[in-house]
Formats: sequence, C-alpha cells, structure tokens
Amino acid sequence: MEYSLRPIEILLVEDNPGDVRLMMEALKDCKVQNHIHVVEDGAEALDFIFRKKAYKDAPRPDLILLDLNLPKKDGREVLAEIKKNDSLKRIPVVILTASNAEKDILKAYDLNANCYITKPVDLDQFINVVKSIENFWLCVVMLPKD
Amino acid sequence: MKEKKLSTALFVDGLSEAELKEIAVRIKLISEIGHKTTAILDLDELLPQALGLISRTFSYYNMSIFLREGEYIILKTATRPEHAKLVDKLRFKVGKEGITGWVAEKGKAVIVEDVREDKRYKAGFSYAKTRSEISVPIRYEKSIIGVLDAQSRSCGAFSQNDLFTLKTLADQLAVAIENAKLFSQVIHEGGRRRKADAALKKSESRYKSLVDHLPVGVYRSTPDGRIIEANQTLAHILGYKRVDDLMEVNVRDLYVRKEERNKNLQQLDKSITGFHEPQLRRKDKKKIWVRDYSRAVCDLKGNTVFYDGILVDITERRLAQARLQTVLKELERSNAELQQFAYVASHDLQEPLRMVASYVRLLSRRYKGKLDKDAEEFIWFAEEGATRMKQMISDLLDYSRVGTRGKVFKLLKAKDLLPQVLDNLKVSLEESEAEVKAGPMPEFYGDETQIIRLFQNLIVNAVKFRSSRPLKINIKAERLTNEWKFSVEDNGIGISPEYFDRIFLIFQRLHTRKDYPGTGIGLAICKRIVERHEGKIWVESQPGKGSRFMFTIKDLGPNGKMIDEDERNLFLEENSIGKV
Repeated sequence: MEYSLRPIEILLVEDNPGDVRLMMEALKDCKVQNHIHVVEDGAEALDFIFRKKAYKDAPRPDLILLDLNLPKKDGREVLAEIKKNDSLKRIPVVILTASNAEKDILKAYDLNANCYITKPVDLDQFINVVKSIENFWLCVVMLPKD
Repeated sequence: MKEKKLSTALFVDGLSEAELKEIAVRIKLISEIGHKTTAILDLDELLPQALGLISRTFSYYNMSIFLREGEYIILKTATRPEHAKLVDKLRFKVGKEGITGWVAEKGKAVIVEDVREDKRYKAGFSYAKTRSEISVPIRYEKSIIGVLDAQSRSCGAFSQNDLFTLKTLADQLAVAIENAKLFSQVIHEGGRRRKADAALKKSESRYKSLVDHLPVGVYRSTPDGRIIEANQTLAHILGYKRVDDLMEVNVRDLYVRKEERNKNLQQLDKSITGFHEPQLRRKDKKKIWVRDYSRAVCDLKGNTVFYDGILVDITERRLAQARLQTVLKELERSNAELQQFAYVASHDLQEPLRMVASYVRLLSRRYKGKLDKDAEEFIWFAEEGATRMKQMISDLLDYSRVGTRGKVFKLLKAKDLLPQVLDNLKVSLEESEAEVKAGPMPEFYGDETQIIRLFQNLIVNAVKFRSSRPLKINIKAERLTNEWKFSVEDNGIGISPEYFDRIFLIFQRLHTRKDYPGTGIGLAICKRIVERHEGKIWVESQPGKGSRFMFTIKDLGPNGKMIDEDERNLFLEENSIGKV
C-alpha cells in the first residue's frame, strides 16, 4: 500500500460558519496533514472544482465534504455535476447534513455519493465522525496519483 | 166459463160440479198469489212471502222451495221452522239425491204416496214424520230453475188437484223469480258501475295528490320543448305558482346553457333513459342546479314523441359539495403544513440546537478546570438543557410521524407480536424482575410497527412506575362489538384519578425528572397510535395499588376471534429461552 505524503486537500462546502469552525476544530487533531478550503454555496463549490472565476489556481480536492442544504445551488446539484464529469467523478464525496429525512439519503445515493453522514447533534459524536472520515481516508482509500 | 175451460184442460173430463167448483176456487187463489208475488222484486223477500201465501191458502203441512245452482238444488225457504234452519245449507245433487233432485233433473212433477217405499227419498234431511210428498219443477223457458215441494204426515195425502195447483203456482213463481233476478241484476250492475266510477275518481285524485306532493318534479314534455304534464313540485322548483303557468314555458328557455339540453336529448334518443345535471334558470332568474332523470317515449316508428322525467333540485347539494371541497383543500393544506412542520423540527430547529449543544460542549472540553465553579455550573445547565431539548425535538418528530409515516394495515397476530415487544424490553424487564402474563390474544388488522410500539410504551411505563412490590404485568384481550379491547395491568405506584386525562397529553408529566426521567411523550404517542386504529385509550388506577391501561382497536376482519386460547407466562418463557 502506498500513501501520499503531501497534505490532503479537503473542500468543505458548508454555509454555516458554526459548522465550518467545528469541522476545523475537529480536524485540528487529525493525524493526516490537511488543507481545508471552505466555500459557502453550491455555485462557489462548482467554481472551485472546475477552477473558474476566483478559483483558477485552486488545487484539485482529494476529498469533498458536502452539505446538502446550500444557498444558490444545493448539495444535490453539486453532487450531480461532479459525478457527471469523468475526471472528477472519482473524487470521494461525503455528504454531511443534519437532515435525517430518507429522501435526502436516497437522493444522495442515487447520485453516487461515496458516503453519507448525518451531522450528530452531540460534539463528541461529531468529533468521532470526523475521526472516522480520517481513518477511512488513511486505511481504506488509496489516493489517486497525479 | 172461459176460465174453467182454459185452466182445466187436463182434468175437467168426468169431474163433478163440486170438483169443478173447487178447481175454480183454486185458480182464483193461484192468480191472487201470482199477482202478489210478482210485485215482490227482492228475491230474498219473494220466496218466503210466496211460500207463506201458498201454505196459508192451501194448508200444506210442510212446504219448501229449492233453487238450482249448478249441480245442486239448494233449499231457499221452508215453512216449518226446523226445516227453515237448513236454508242455504240443505242441498241435493241434481238427479242423484232425493225426490226433489230427481224432479230437478227430469223436469217432471211427482206425487209419492209413501216416501218410505220410494228409493229416491232421502231420509234425515227433511222432517221425520213425512209420509207423502209432492214435488214440482219450477221451469223458466226451457230450464229447470228450482223445485217447489210439499210434504204431508199422512200417506197418499196429495191429489191430482194438488199437482195441478202446485204446477200452476210453480209457473207463476218461475216468472216472479226471474223478474226478481233480473231486477237485482240491474240494481247490482248499476250499483257496481256507480261504485267503480267513484273508485276511479278517488284513485285519480289520490294519484294526482300523490304526484303533486312528491318531493321531486314530474313532467312530460315534447321534443319541441312544451311541457304538457307537470306536478306542483316542478312548478315550485322552477319558481312558478301553478302547474298551468308551466304550460306557457318552453323547456329550452329554462336552460342556462342551451347546449346541455341538446346533448341530453341526443343521448336519450340513443339510450332511451338517462340523467344529466344541468343548470336551469327559475322564473325569478335565480340559477339552480337540477338532476334530471328522463325517458324518451317513442311511437311505433321509433320517433320520440315525449320525454317523461323527474327533476330534483340539487342546488343545496352542489353548494355543500363545493363547501366540502374548500374544507378538503384547507385540510390538505394544513396537513401539508404539518408535514412541513415535521421537517422544520427535524432540520431547521436541530441546526441551531446543534450549534448550542456543540459549542457548549466544546467550552466544557477545552476549559474544564480553567474556569471558576460558577462558570462550570452554568455550562453544565446549558448542556443539560440542550440535551433535553434535543430529546424533545426528536420525540416531537416521533409523535408527528405516527400520522405521516404510518404503514399499511395488515393482519397481525397479537400472540406473535408480544414476544417481540418483550424481547425489545428484555434488559429492563430482567432488571426489574417483572413477571409478564398474557391471556388469549386475537388476530386483528393494524400497523405492525405502531402496535409493537404501543405495547412497548405501556410496558415500559409499567416498569418505570413500579412500586417496591415484585412487578407483575398482566396483558389481556377481550372481544367487544366490532372491536378488540386490550388491557395492560400492573401493580405499580398508580395514578390519581384527576390525572387520568392529562397523562395522554404531549409533554405532560406527573413526576420530577429526578424521580422519573423522560419528556412525557410515551402515552401521547400511544393515544395517537390507538386513534389511528379507530380506537380509544384510557386508564383505571388506584394510587398505591396499580394501573390498568385499556385501549380498543377496531376489528376490520369479518369474524374476529381469539386464536390463542392459553394463558401464558411470557416472561418465564422468554427467560427459559434465554437460559438455554
């Protein structure tokens, strides 16, 4: 098994600053070195991914953490766009949302989300979730080489 | 003597002067009787009166008149009271029974000297002392219509003169009887006709009144739109005072949309009968909705000559339907809002709550031991409140989902559900050392998940509110009319009667959170589940002794019956499985 030694690029698509900060706090203790890029709506997320407008020099994300309920374009549309693109569709996408509604879950799986995680209300659980993403990353996923 | 010659043609030869005199007297008497009797036109009166006259005039011991009716001659009158009792009852078969029967068949008069020696005589019917008898036919034109009969207590009492007298009287009687019959026929016929006329008029007016007062309009109209028959109700529906006013109206002009009539007539010409619901305009221009059932009446060539129909004013019903539609839409809207509320509770409320809970938690993680005692206590209260609020939001969602996430009802076997319920609660039942018993359980239709939850909540309550005594829980089912009644009984702390209703309300609690944790959602959810199964839930309890929760579930099956007849100790059974 071969691991990449460069820091992983994480795109966090999240409009709630409280959640952004929590995510940052949780990733602080992460064993894997990482860069977190935060965008606040779906349109911005697509600009980042497709390196448009202000994001011409943006790195290709290794992991996308995507909230479903976003301003402008919502998470479902962003997910659909990513999975339509042949070169981008291999980027793992983790759906992060507070919604437990089944239709959200099913919709996400229809669009080939790699993983679906409900944001736990409890901070300790939240930290566990972020740790599990990290573990998943370290142990299961082999990064596609550039 | 002209009279003598005429009437004695058979007997005069060789008769003495005295005998001839007697005949003359007889003839005179006979003619008198003839006059008197022909004046009586009522048959029931004629026969007794005629016989009375004859017997008084000629002093015969017992006289009777029979009239022929079909195969029989029937006694119509008799002079002796004991014989008269048999009027209309004594009858002889023509040609087969008695001397009179013989006379009626043969049409010949007869004198019998001694009835005891005559085979035709039928004893027992007439007077026992009868010895001789004279019997003559009553003949009208060519048919024998009856028999005139006289009897005597002496043998050979009747002479040829008597025969002559009676035969002559019989002829007179025949005319009188026929007259009376004819008269009565005329009278009756007339009466019948009058009665029939009256009955017809009565039934006509009855039908007119019936039709006029029917709650529906009745009409006959022509293809060109004339109304030729109608009842009062139709006039009323269309806003006219009298039926006659309708005759001036053309049906075409009643329609708000004329094409509706054309369409209906085309349909009727094909299907003969049918109905439609057009809008009509009343005399006062008010628009009404009607349902018009009609039938095309055709001539022999198949052309429609009339339309017969009935008309019902359905304006009220239409309005009510429209109101119902509005209410239904309103209900759908408010239902949708309720669904929306569930989503709001699940997402939009949880979002800020998560922020509060997470950052308070982050505070306590990062700064534990670095702040003063007050600050730590405040943080603890904030965390505790956030936790409770999280629970309440999730309970509220559960509660709202009983209605919105309900599953299709299917046939459930309660005896199979209970072990599942107890298995879910295994740990707490074992901890509390509860003894759970269940009686015979039925099959019924319901939402499996919800019914399991219903029993589970009630049993959880029994465990939670147990007393210091060993906990006993008893589950029973009972068949009521169209429903099943279940009861879950415990020997726990019980509930005061003043709280019997309150406990089923959402977030209502009777105890402090310290004594008994929980938000107070359990029984509210039970109530919603039971109501979704068209049942009721209530409680009976004595504080300190225990509670019995009861609920009903509507039985949707055709013949509900208990399927498990044994009473079982479920807990022991569960336990024994656990130990194996």
